[in-house]
Amino acid sequence: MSLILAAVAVWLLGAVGWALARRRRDLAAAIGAGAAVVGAALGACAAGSALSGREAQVLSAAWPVPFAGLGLRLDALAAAFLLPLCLIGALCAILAVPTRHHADGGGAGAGFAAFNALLASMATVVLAANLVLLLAAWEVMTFASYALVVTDHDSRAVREAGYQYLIFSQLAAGALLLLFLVLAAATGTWELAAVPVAHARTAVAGLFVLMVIGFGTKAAVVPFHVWLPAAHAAAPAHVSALMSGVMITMGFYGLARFLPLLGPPSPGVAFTLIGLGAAGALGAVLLALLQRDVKRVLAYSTVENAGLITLAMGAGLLGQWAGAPELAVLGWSAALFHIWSHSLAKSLLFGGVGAFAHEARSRDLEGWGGLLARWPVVGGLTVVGALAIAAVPGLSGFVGEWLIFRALFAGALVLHGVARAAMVVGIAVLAMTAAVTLAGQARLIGIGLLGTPRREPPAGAFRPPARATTAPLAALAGSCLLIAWFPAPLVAALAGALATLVPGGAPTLVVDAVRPLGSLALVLTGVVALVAVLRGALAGRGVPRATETWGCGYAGAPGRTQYSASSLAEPVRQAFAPLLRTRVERLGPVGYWPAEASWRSRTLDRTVTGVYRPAFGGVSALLQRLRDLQEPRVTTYLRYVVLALLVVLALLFLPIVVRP
Amino acid sequence: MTASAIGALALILVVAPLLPALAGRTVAFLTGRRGAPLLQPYRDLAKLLGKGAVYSRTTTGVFRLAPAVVLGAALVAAGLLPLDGRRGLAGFGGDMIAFAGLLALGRLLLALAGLDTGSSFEGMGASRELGFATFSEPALFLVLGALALATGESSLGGMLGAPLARAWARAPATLAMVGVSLGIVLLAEASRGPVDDPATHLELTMIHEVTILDHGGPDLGILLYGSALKFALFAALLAGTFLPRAAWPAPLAVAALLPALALVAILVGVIESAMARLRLVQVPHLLTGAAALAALGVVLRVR
Repeated sequence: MSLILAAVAVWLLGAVGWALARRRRDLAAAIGAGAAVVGAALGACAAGSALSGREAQVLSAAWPVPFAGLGLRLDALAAAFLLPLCLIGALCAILAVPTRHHADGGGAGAGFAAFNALLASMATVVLAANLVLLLAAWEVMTFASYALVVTDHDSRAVREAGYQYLIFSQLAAGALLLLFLVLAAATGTWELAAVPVAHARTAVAGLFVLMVIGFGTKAAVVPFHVWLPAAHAAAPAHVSALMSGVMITMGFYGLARFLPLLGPPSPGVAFTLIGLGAAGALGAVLLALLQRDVKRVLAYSTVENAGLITLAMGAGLLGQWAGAPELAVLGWSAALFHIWSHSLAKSLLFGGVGAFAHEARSRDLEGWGGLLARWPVVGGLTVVGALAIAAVPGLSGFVGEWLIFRALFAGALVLHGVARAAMVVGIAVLAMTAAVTLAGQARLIGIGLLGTPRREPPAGAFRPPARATTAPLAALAGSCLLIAWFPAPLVAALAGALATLVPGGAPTLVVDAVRPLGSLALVLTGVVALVAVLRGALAGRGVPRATETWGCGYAGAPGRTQYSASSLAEPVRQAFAPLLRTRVERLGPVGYWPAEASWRSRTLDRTVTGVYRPAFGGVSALLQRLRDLQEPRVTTYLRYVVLALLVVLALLFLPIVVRP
Repeated sequence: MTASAIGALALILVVAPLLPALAGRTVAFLTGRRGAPLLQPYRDLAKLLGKGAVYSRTTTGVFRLAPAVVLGAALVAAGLLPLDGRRGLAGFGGDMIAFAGLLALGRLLLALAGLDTGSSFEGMGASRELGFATFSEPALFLVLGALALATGESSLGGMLGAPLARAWARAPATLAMVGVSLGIVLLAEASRGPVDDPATHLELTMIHEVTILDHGGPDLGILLYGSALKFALFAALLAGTFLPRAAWPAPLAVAALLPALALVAILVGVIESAMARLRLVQVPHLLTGAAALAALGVVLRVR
């Protein structure tokens, strides 16, 4: 416990320490990043020991805030979320160091202040054993991340994205406040209960909705994900990496911690999560395939993975409800494992793609191309991240997805009736999601990094990358490989967390289940290496001739004639056209000698166009009416005051008058 | 790891290049031509492996890595499949997901290698291959789901092993639908007609052939062998579904693989010569049909 307290203290010191070196940017960055790394190292030690520990470490102290207490608890579940936080937090802090040169004014130091505050608040969220403390930390997390999102606040788009993020976060925080009030009223204490309290059936439904809104917004569960793509596109790369890799997992931590408090799982809760997860994953991955902004591609891919995790949680709950221990254990461990593997791979991808976007001064995929040749090391590491997200065997993403599939197959075999049908539908949706994910990552890498440039990068770009860029990415890529090769030790390490989620479950079942996957990844790597060596020997006998790409006799076709990102996605877009409602603007070609022709498509998120825009528009129209009450005259307001007084008096005296 | 599994694996690795040749020969026969000799693919492979390499200056290491990954993934997938109708070389619970994942890995690298050339030809092929997979993947998984429900097993060794024979007695309708659906998935995954045209790489038909247009020499040889192996794997999956061989003596079960694969290849040839290639926009419809058929098979097992 002292270790983690020290970690939080170091982070908090880092958050204020930059002020000492405000004038010296390098020193400020060194203090900020150093504090983040040292704190993370301490936190990782604490989390590592707590992960295996059976007993929760508890600390409670008085805190002179009404209802609050400084209650902290580090148990295996908290540790399972704390460890990736520390790992990725430290690496993202290092990634941030080279960016200090292009941050404005005191931005570098202030950025690290918010960064450290974000780390400290996320750790506190995971550790909090008191509802008021949890909510306070949650809000600090939101505001610190908001400050990071609007780092480049000169741009209007960035400010708008930040504002939108803030609004959604506060709506979610309202739901959380309500949730905590009801829970506190039911238990009579502000301490976070460890055991469920009996609630009425309707109350359970209400609490569940509050949880999904409150935690699901942070976790980017569809339809509460809308803030995420805009915020991730606006934020600097290392911030997107931290938010996508770690901050969204805070939402899942909340769900994992609070869903058991609802009492024995009900099928309604489980099916809702499965439905939200499956529909969200497929919808988001289709949108990811159609984005032009590279960071929005990754952001929607995060929403997709959030859907997969939600689906896995739902499957686990369904297993608990149906008394199918295999499904319960597989579902929950799939959720935990996928949280880990997605965190690592997505931070890697955001870090790599963000570095490319910074060098190319553009996030438009249609203008990219041939960037791997410019930056082979960063490019290669980014490809590893994309393969991990594409969930192909040999990398970490596959193990998580395999566990979800495995859980659904297990569910299909043991459940009956509607539940069995739901499992099979889930399998089909997951398969389609996986195929579209693959296409999306092929598009990101194939169009963005391979081929030839569609637009020349600015002069002076793509100097050899800083070691502070490549080293963290290499560490993340290495962990993606390690997890794929040795999944069983990780699952075994997560057994403690699993035991708190599925009491009485047998985690060894999952450890044994994933063991062959490790061998599979190793064998695959070996076989591919063998074939590669063989191929190299065959192809390398003579001097390989270098020439043009075959173009039917035309040599030196310009980069812009390559297949574009939009055209690559076109078959899928056309097949899902009724669902996506893409707006296509088409001009020409007309006549025998066409002069110009253009084709432009734009696919908007239908939760935005169909739900949020009308809803917020309606609210805003309603509020406009209240403006009529406003009048720039003192007498009007005096009238209001008198009226209000009269109402209060009436309310006070009415009971006395009415009483016989 | 049994002798029969190793024998069956060796058999399929040797005869894989025969399958496209046999299908092509069937098409030739039905259209009144003589066709290439059956052993032509082996000669082509020998020729290609002996050639030098030519690379486009645009390409990167991804282009060179792709053939190794495509073939490596197919080889490992072959190890998962119970080719002898029993356990397979290295089966485990949930190996069917890994089987599909390995083929997806090959597809991803093939698409990346195509895009690496910077040519629109390859881009078009990659786009179509990735797009059609969006529909063939759910169909394949529904097939696997229906097989799992029919047999009560969750590994390829179980689904195509001993429990399959009992399942044919209990749920013949489901398994028949699964078989047809799997056949359609095979046509798409192995890039055969009416989905793709293996004989050309013209713009209108190009999918697989054009994605590998810029590969030459040993790389092309490896890719051609890899795609033949993929064809053989799906053919073995199909044969295994219709022909549960777990109760047969091991040598016979392995030997039966040969005529079964040949039959599938001939059937593919018959379909190719009897049907015109579908318009590209209709391919998703065909694959959705396959998925629907498998889903119907699932529905029959929901209770």
